[in-house]
Amino acid sequence: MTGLYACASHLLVDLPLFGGPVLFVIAAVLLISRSERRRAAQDNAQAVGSLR
Amino acid sequence: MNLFAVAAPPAGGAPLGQVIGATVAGLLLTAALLVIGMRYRAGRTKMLETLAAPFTWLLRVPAWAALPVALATGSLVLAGAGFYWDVAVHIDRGRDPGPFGTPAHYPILLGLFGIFAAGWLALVMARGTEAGRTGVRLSSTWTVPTSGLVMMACGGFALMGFPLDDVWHSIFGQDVTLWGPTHLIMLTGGQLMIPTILGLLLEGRAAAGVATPTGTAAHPGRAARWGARAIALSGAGGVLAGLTIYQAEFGFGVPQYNLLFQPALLAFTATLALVFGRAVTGRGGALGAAAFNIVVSGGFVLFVGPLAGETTPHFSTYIPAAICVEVAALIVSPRRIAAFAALAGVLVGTVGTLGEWAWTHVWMPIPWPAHFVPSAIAVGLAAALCGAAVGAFVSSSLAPGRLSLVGARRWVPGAAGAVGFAAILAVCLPTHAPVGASGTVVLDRLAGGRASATVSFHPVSVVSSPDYVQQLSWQGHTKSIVSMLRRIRPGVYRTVTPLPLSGSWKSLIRTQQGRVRGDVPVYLPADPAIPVAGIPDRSTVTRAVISDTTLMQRERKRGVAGWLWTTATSVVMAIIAVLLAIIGWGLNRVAGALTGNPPRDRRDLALGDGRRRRLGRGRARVAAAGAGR
Repeated sequence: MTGLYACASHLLVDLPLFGGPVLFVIAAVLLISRSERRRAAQDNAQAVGSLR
Repeated sequence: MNLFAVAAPPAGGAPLGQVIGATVAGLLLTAALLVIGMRYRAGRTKMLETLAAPFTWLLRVPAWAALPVALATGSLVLAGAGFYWDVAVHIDRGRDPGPFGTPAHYPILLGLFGIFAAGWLALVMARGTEAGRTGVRLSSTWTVPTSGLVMMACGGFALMGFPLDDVWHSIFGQDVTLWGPTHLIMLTGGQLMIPTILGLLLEGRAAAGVATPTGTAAHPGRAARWGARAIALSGAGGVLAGLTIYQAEFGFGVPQYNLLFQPALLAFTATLALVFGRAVTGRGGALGAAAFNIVVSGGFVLFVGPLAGETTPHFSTYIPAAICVEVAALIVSPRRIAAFAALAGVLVGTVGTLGEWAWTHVWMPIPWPAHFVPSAIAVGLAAALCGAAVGAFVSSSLAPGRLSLVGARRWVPGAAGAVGFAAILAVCLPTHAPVGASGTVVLDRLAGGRASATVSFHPVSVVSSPDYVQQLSWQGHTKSIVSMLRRIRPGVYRTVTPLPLSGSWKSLIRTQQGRVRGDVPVYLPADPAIPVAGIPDRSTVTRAVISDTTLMQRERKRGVAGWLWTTATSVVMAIIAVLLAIIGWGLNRVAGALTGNPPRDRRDLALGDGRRRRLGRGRARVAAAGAGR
């Protein structure tokens, strides 16, 4: 029981240490992908506009 | 109990302040890394290109491969030096008060974070479809190099080992051994990703074959060819040095597992790395890789011993194994990678193990006795064949067009070799203390709180043909003392160096005979933080021969539920298995992508364009046919 308690309490504190960076990376990949897709869409729209 | 107590650091998990500090520092560093990457992708900074420029020129690959390869290599060296230093610190000073309680942890943390950062940089620096040939498509505008993903996963897993280690300590107590389950996560995530670094180089070379805005194509010619060979050779030597760290307890003379682990680890490591070195870099590749290992491991030894002032580790030269692999290559062409690797495995497992037996009598803390050699060869042969299978996989992945496939699927022998080696270690693992055995210790007092000891074992059969009878005095806050005892007559041994019997020293007599491992304690201080009572140094005393783990890992908590230990160990081993699978997946994916292309687009770790052209179209077609089978 002591072992389980120690495990639970430490996980609460330790989790951000290895959970945080993983969440950061996922968020960053999503942000980069979204902004690049938007930029590509804008470029396409400009290209189509200039053709017209 | 307090009579022998000395000031001791806490023995559970890290203090809360250290954990919070580590969390904040980790998040800030990661945030900084991500911001740099995002600014680079948005075209708002040229910093990464500037940093990458010299490595792009040197390695002849695009910036997204060059900078991460350089960063990961430097980080690995830093982490490797830190690992050796940390093991030495634990041997000489005992446990630490937390993840930031010893300076040796900082290079490890920085190194592992560097690997994570290198993976991230490989991802963000590859724009558009520059890594399209071998990469993984994240979105319509972003394809990332496969090896970059693997590298980041390796760094992430290895970093995860730190907090997991802390959780482990709080549940089970500190396990002062290199082979603790969570320690293996850090080691594996760090040292086993060297082939991934080479995989990223290969991806870079493949991409440099077509025009890219960030890189230069591989230049044909002698210099480029020799440069490519040097990189492959140092990669094989790096694998050798990296895997050698797993043997560090034997190198320091304080193994906490069956001595048979040593020939098994030596044979597996040597065959894996040297088959790869010879197959990919050509004649002399195995000897060159062994020489590279001597330089790198020698550097670690100089750093830990003379520079840091800790106990000096020892290591194998692997020269007998390298000669075996070169001889195997003379008999069977390394292009027939399966047959070549198998022959190399047989030679390394037998002749190479004999060479290592000799080397243990030259410069290793525990010389193997003659009666140990048949067992060492049996285990070494099996381990070498497993190493050969993994080596064949790594070789055919990093030189995909040149070497024949092993079977229909490249990854199968690699996975079989890894599983087989794990099974060998599992078979060797179980040991037990002798039942009803005891040792009578008679001390001859000397100056300075030291004494020589004569130990008589009862019954004599406990040490009738021992693998070793060793005196160990460690954790005395100075260099440890490790020596083999001198046999006086059957069952009676005498120390060759005086045993320190005061302060924080722990002095004991250790024996192994087959699966029976046991110790006779001579002096151990009380440790209120664990808590355990002291074992006093009596002038004449008879004590039971008890489990080695009981004395060597005093901090381990007793009475923890067995199911909890089994579950936790299984979870950690599953993490390591996932890590190995990710590394294998990356190598297999890159090789598969390259062999799926026409022969003119093939790249090889050790061949620049010039060499490929010299091979001629006919041989390229043969290679293509072989790869396409």
